[in-house]
Amino acid sequence: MFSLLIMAPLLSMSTAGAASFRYAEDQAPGIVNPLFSTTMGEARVNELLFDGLYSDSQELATVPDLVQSDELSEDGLTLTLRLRSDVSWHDGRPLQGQDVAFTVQAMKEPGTLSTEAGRVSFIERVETQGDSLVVLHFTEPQVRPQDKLTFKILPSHAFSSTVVTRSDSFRTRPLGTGPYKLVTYNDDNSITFQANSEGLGGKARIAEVVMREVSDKSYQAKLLLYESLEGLVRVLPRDLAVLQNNRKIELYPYQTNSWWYVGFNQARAPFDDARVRQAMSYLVDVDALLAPVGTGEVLSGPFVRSSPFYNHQVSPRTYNDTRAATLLEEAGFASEGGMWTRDGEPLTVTLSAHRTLESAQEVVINLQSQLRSGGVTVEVEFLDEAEWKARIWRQQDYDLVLSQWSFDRNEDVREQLHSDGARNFGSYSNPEVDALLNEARATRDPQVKKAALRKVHALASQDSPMIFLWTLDSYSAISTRVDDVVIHPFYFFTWVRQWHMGS
Amino acid sequence: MLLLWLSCTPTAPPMAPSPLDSAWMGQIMAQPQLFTQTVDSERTAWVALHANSWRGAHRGTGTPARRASDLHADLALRVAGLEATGWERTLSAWSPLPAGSALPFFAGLSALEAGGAPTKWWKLIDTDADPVVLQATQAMLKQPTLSTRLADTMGNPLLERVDQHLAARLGESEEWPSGTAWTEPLSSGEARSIPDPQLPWTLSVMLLSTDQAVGMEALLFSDCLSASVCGPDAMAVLGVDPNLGPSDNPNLARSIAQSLDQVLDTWARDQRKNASPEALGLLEDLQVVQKFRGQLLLSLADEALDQGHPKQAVVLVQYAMDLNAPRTLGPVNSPTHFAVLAQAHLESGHTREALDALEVLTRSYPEAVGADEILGDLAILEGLDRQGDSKEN
Repeated sequence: MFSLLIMAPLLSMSTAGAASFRYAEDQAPGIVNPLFSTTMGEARVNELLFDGLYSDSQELATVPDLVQSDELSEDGLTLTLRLRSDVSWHDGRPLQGQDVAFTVQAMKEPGTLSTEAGRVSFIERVETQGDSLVVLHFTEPQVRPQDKLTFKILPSHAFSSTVVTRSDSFRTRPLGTGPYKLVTYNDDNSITFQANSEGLGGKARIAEVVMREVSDKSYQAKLLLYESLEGLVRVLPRDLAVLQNNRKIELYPYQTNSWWYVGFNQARAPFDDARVRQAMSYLVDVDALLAPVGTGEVLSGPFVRSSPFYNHQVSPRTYNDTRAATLLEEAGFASEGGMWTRDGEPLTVTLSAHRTLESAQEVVINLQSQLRSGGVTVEVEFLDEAEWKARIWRQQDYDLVLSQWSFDRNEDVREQLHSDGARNFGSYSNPEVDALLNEARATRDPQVKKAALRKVHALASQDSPMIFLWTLDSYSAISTRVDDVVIHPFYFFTWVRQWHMGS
Repeated sequence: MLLLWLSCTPTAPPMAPSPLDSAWMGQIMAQPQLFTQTVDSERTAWVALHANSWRGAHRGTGTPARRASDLHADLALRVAGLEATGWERTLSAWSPLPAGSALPFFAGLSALEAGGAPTKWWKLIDTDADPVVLQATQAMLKQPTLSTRLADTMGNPLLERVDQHLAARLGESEEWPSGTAWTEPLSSGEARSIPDPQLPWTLSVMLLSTDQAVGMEALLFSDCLSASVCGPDAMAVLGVDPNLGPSDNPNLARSIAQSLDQVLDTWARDQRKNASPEALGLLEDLQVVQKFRGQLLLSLADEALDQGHPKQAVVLVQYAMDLNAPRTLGPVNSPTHFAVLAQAHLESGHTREALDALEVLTRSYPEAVGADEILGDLAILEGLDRQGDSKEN
């Protein structure tokens, strides 16, 4: 009864009718602009609003989206695209070649600081011919460049320059060609999207999608059970059995290439010393941390266990305070009254976690307790989305972070572990790892790639730029009121056009 | 007061008869002591069979050991099929193949095992290949069959390996080779290890038992209502139309699964009202309904694959899974679930997802490592020209 009373406001504030698909995110997207997307929640919204030149078919083959036809030059250095002539932006203006050119230039523009810049690094320049012809010139020969052209295309007329800032008004008034238009930001932090009648392949079958911000995952599950939502993007493992037993809900594996970690800021002492990082990893009992979260698998490196790149020769590190003590002493620390100090200063760290990371609070508190027992004082801070992007991503102003990475099926960790990686905010640098990551990108022999990345796994485990924690059993839950649901394993809404509300 | 009265009612209303009552699960409920007598004879093996721990069960004796061995043989055959598909697709997508590699030799061997055409692969062996590989390829081109022992292995380790498999299958040896079949240097200086693609085929022959069990021992924990009514036929008898339709329509598969749930839920509810405490204990402890349900859905998933409906198969296996421990083998999640799921994903084009299922198998069934590795290569090849994407949370 108590929980029903708590839920009453949310239940009653539903403005959506039967033709609405209401789904929950832990937090509303911080920014709706594909140039700056860093979270899965943002990626999901991008999928509703925008299209790429190419996309995935349900069989995960690359198929044209905004492209009518293409032709790759014999030398593999240029790709000529003819855009579809029947596509318009949500404001009615037609899609043009200059939109493609603008998007690539904005992503590449150093002044934009796009988190997606790496995705167009293989494009040297873009030419447009007339309204619908685009010629992409590549830095080196390409075999199937279409596979790389899945990033979202932006309208050039919505921007004044290719230098785009995060605060650009586009973030609140996004304009795409995608299956849905953003209609309103609501007072409760929800966002309402309406089907785009001019969308590719016709209007999406569900008239309205509503993104609800609900930070508590267990509460999300209750809302789904009480039919106040139609979808949860990620269910906590501990809620899986209850939802599976409900015949009005279906579970779909989703975002399975995800792993949790505690990351060190290696630009900051004492985490620039691998011995300190290793010692702290020995002070963490990962199994005990995982137990309250639910079922999952403990990892020894930057891949999930089913990945071809996972190195099964490397065992997950287990709690070993003796080994930790040896390493800390080698790094110049001494134990005084059960706490580690160096030059009279106690080993004190601040652990930053995203306010809405599922179950983060339990993990953080247990981690704090474990490290404290090991002689490390841990202060904790929970950051909201804006603070997180500013402090962690841009200013690199932190000691330790608790977070989670999700990967598409390529499981490309280059951005996280290469010294010039766009997502390497921990400043990890190992020339051997850089060389292996470069080799893995360059080779066309899958076994050379596999061998290189398994070595990266071993080196990352040794260097400990992060304490690799676990991958959770990851499922989405959708009401059986929604039919023809097929979920993209990473982007979720890629095939939303065909979903429809049943009886 | 009404609730109090209802709870004090000495007997619940009589249940409508169900075909499940005369099947193994009904017998457990009606005669729990018969179940106990049955399993007491080979308790350890029955416990292992119930837990889908087939390797443990077939080390025992009696009916459960033989059934586990047969199930393991079937699993090996499925794994062999996955590996053969993996070899075919991987080498077809791999261009150019590494010079001098033995890969086409094993692709040919795999094709030969699967009843396909090996010659196209063996012809790709170039003159730079290791002399052992060249000699083995020439010999296999002369005798492209695996129905008889090789005429002459010429001291060639690859041919000797092939012949050892054949000797085991023909009952002329009790041992067969396993593990890595060949190692060659990679261009990066590492080693390319090629698992033996013949291993699961040999296991599928060697593990198959000839004895046929009868009665409750033969049916316990199976997807059968009786010896002749199993899988989709059993669903039909239960009033659930197992017709998957002409197209690969996942909605229809869901609808069939939901209909089955209604039937089984009703039966389980009736049992909970009327069964003895001993029988109820068995119903819950043995996860009788979940196990039977999982097996039926798995059989239908198999049927969907046979009909070329992999999306339906994915849906049906997902429905069949126990999500309390989705990446663990257990009473509901059998090794076959993961093999069928891997095949369904593979046939749907979702190679990377197939690896999620295969990885669970490799932990307990080393013969699945070859399929896991070759399909891992395929997943990499499929993404070779992609720009990976990653996000937080």
